[in-house]
Amino acid sequence: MAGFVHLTIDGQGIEVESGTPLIEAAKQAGAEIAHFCYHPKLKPDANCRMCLVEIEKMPKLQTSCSTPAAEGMVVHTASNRVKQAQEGVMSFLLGNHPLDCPECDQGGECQLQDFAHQHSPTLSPFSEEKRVFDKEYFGPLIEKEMNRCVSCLRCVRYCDEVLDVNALGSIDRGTMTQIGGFAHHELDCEFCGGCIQICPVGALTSRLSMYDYRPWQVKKTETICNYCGDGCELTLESINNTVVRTSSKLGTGRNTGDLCVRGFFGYGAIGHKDRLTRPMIRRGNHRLQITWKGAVESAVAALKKIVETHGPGSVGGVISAHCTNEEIYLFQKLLRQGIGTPHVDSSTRYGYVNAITGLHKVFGTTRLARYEDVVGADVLLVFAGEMTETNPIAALKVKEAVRKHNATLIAVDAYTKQSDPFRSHLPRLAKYHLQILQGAESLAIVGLTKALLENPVLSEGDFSPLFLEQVTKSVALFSFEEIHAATGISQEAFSQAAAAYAGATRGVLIFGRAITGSEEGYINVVRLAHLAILAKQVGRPGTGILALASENNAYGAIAMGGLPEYLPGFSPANGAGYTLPGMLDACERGEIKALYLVGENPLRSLPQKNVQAALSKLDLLICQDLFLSETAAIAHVVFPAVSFAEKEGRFTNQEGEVQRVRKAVEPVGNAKTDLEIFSMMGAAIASSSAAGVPAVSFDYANSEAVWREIMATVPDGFHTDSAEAVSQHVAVYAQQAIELAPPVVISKRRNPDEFDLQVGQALFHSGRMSTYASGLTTLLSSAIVLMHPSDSDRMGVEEGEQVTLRAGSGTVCLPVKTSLKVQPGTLFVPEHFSLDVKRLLPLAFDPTTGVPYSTRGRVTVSKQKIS
Amino acid sequence: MNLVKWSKWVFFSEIVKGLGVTVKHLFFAKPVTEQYPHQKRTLPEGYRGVIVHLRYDDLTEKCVGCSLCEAACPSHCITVVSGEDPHMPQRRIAKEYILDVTKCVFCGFCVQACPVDALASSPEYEMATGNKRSLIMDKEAMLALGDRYFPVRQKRPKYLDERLALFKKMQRIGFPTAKQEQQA
Amino acid sequence: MVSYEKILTKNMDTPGYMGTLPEYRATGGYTAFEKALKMPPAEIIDIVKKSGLRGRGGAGFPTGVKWSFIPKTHVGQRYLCCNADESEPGTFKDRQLIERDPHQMLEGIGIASYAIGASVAYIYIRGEFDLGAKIIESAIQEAYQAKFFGKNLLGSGFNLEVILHRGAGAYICGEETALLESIEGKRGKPRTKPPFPAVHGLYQAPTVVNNVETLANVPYIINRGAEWYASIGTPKSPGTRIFSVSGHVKRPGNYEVPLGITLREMIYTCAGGIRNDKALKAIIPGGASAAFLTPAHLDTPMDFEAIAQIGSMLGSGGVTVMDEETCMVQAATNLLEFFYHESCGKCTPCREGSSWILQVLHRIERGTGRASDLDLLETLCRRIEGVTVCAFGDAEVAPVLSTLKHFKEEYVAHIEGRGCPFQPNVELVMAH
Repeated sequence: MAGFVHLTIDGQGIEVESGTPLIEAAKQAGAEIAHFCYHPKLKPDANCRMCLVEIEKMPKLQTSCSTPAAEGMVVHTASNRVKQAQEGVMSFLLGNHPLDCPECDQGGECQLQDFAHQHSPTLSPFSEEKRVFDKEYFGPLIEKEMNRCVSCLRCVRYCDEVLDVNALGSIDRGTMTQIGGFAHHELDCEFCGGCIQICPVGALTSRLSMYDYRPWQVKKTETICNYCGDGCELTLESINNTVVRTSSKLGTGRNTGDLCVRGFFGYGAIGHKDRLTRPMIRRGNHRLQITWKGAVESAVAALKKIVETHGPGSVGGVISAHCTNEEIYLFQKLLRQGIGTPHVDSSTRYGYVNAITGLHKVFGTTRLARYEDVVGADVLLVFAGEMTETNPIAALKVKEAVRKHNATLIAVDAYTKQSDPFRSHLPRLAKYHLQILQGAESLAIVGLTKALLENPVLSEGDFSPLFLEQVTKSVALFSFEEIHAATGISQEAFSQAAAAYAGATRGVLIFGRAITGSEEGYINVVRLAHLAILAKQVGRPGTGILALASENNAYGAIAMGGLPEYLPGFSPANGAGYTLPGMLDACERGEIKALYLVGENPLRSLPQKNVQAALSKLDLLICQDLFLSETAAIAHVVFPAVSFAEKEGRFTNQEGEVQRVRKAVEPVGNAKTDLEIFSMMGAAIASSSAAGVPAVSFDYANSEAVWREIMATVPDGFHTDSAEAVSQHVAVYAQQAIELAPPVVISKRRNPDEFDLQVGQALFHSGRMSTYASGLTTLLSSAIVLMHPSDSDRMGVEEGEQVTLRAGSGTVCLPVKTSLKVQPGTLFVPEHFSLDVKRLLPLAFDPTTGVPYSTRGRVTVSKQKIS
Repeated sequence: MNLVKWSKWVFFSEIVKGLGVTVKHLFFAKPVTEQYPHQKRTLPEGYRGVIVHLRYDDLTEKCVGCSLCEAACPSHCITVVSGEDPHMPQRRIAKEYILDVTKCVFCGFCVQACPVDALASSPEYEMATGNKRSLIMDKEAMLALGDRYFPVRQKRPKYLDERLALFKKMQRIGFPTAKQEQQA
Repeated sequence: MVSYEKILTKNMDTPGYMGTLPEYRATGGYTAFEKALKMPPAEIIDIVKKSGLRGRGGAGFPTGVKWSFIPKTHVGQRYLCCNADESEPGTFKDRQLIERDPHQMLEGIGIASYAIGASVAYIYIRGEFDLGAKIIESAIQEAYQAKFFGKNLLGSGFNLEVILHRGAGAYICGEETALLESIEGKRGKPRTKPPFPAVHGLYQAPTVVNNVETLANVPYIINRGAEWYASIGTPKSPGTRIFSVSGHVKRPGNYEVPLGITLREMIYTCAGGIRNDKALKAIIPGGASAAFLTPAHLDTPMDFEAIAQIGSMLGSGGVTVMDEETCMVQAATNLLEFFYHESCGKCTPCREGSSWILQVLHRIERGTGRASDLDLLETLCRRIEGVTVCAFGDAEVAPVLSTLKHFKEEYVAHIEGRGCPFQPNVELVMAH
């Protein structure tokens, strides 16, 4: 549909792409046309009638938002006729609009205000009373003031077209048309805040920042969100060193201006009152607040003593993948070069490392697909049914591909096709939905691969015989009947899905925590890579694989060498380092004497393991965190660190896109950035190091200096490999012997009281930090258990009633929430609140990567007796 | 030179005339000096003294915390921290309002900018003080000054009553918000 | 009184005629459908084009031309929608056609679907037509049983499924795009045109929307030829038309007459003149959306062009007659109340404008009008006219603008006399 058309706008000749709406063409010609309902993200609705223009040879005025530019058009945007019409529309809009601009939060950035100054007479011809809507309670986070509404329906259309949530609609008709949830109900949606951002007037505003600011007072800082691996650009708006609101700029960043609930309402954690503000050391059972100098000195002195007595290998360090690239680089430098220990790990060990090491092994790179590829794909194979909750913005790209560009979605997950009302759900959009039993991912991949290999048309291709033979052998262990029994998916369904994926012009494979964070994670990533190779959906432009990360800098943490396997830039390390679980074991054995934890809290993340005992054997435990976490509470030294809003640096998102993080507010209290703390520690260690040991410099002016060093050390750490390079690497890989363990078949549930329990991320939270944001805790503040209505009916449990989950000797009582999303016979519990529920789950470790798996298990459920 | 002119010249008539004025003022005119602070001048209409806050007749403050005065102020002497009224949810007020009189140039732009006529120029000009801090006025001080100079108050507008009724109704249904949790 | 040949209402005059399939077949029903299925579709469109049949729903667009707009190269589903959402105040012709002789409409649907290649036809019937819906439902069943609808009709390989869809009581759903939205299960709101339904209609597929009366005419055109049909009425507006005459006449009702007879003949001959032999004051010639006419226009022929020339429209054929005792301001107010209530709320001028016009009219009627209100009304109407999404905006200002034009002195009397000279102390409330 390429091609350009020439037209004249206000006497000025202009060339635009054909299909461009006139309103955009006029903008290019320098004429801004007033509008309300038009928005570049949405299909034109032409309901506000504000953007009327006069087109020669057309009798009526036309709406410029819905009229595409055509060859030879002569358009007048400011003729008398146009002006009169616009004045008329404006007078109607203002006729009922209340004059509460001084109180309205939109005042100052309101389109109605702006355009009213251009287009309206100052006197109203009306003397009757304005229409007044009854005030409605619209939910805890979004404020609805219908008197201000101009009925442009942008919010409704955004909710439908972009979010696929459909929580908003217009109700009543005529002048009394208003926006609302179904039948005047309180809003219960994904709370992405998109409706607030897209509202041209003050009809929908944020309850959370209500009346706290005026738009011209805020200081805006463009930075990157830290709640998941999507890497969304967001604007933190602060007054007097307090973040009062977040927003996003249309069309910018990897998110192109869309945010999710965590990005929009999750800023409350930044300036939370429980933040650590001063360094602390432990004396006996007390924690003492001391100066930075004292804390660093005592930490370094203790470290030095341990290194001298037990050698550098007795020190270990784990850093959170929420830190910036510079910080992670400096941390591993501090440990590897400053102290000399190989034991460095990061929180990517909880799953994402599977994706990176697996893909890296097969393809030589892990940056295989970008969001542009997802949007442009014609077939999407998604092994992440929870994607709309864990990675909402990446899920938006999938929705865009499916809803706007009619891509075929193949969803393989343990969710039902139904969803809760007013929540988006990828299986609902899927053309082929393979609803597998919980934990049957590996067999589902095997099934798909088998279906692909058995189809003579699809399996054609230039594959190395060794590779084909090995893969065929690995899938031949199971017949389709066995796979059907274990996954619940028939051979026919596998064949259809495999045919659709292999037949794609631009196929993209997406997988998330269901693969990486669950049993057989590493090998499943390799299996998926094989599937993509066999389907020929990798190594060509537009195709690829996207691994979803739950942490904002998971990719960066690995690229910066924040794990024992790799040095910065994916160059392999000597392999002597312990992984996080390995370190904990070594602590218990007394091999590791000092542990440096940065934003890491193993007491919470691995409750099944006897972490408490392991940590108590340490001579030195340094914790660097925002809040006094469970682990920080028992640490010898606690350094107060700062959140993403208080520091400079770079995050690398799950696509491998490096993006700048900027400081929006000053650190709380005496807290320092991780970078400063590492520099201080490094300098102290270097100055006290024994003679003869070459001192490593930790003297950096700022994060830029660190970044320059990174770029000098790992020049190609962040370059996307070309499609040819990927193909070449695959060719080399295919010549090697591949070790593929057979998939594990999960046992069937024995009785109806037995349930498959899945613990995972909920939409409204991400890790622990989000539970400090008041906006998010309003939506979800304590653990619940999601249960399919058929199960709750069968057990006679009402919504909100407590049930007891039991596994072995452990029991947990949780309130029930019914959800159509979870399969009958399965339960879902958000991981953010209750530690106890994790204790019910078995803990297993990946044989290759050592990733701890503890998200799935089997529990028996009983209704709690009312005492 | 004629006789008249000559006689004027010879008898210093101009000087005598001038002295006459002096003598007249010396003995007959009233003194123009005012005995400030015992005596005070009446100020002209529209005199722009210290800016004050006004109230409605039921003593609720008029200010809605819109910060337009802050935006209009050429010398940046006004700071407004807006927020929700703790006593009347959903009403915008100035949680803090600080007027730095030491910086104020008494231009009255803020009074003009105020959309609810909450500000007024009072006739107060005696701000000399030994303590400069006392010249940084908060909202209470400005309200007190307003009460002193503007005892005749405007009637409380109807829309506030309607709103209050609405708020009471909403309070009855609970109206839980994240904001209240944040403040708590 | 000259009597004209009736086409659509012919059977209804037969005593005892119930409109069942056997009865309809006995009068030659479905022969046109059988004939049509043997012709190539393009030929049918050609015949209808030649006959000059124009849409009977309101706009009077040539039916054959509309059918030919369906993209011939389009592969995939096409739809026909029969607009039976007759909600125009003062119009009740489709209701009679549906209730008394539904099969001629169904036969028309069959022929039209075949002509445009639609395998699914929807009949969107007004929600209030409870009886009509039942009658159509049973008529469709009869047609299915007689194999007029279904698969491989009469061995031609043509499939047709006919679905009855009942509206939920919104006037705006009579607008073709709002009707499509409503069938799709959405809120009945008109779409922005272009794209027209012929390209992107129901479920984004090419769609033709025709009125009941239009479709009912099709079988007769096929059976008796385009020339025969073109010979009735005027050259530009051929055929007969059912006019629904109501108001202050002696014999209100539906009258099927050739297009082009004068208003005078319509009112004084067909409908028997004004009730109680009072003087005529105003006529609405084409349903509530049409502009008011005065006795001076009585000799205008009732065809699309002539009525349009004098500033009104033939519209849906609902002729409302008002005698000398009718207050024109009240008449306009009454219509505006209807339009205010029915405005869908999609676009600004219509949504906001209807309430303000109504409020100004109310204050004039109440006696609190001001001299400036007449200009204000005119300005308000001009601000709505021509800038709305659908024709509703033009429709709602027509009564006000035309009464202002023809009966300005009455408005002035209301304002100067501080009340209605016809009915003082009138109660007026805005019904929200």
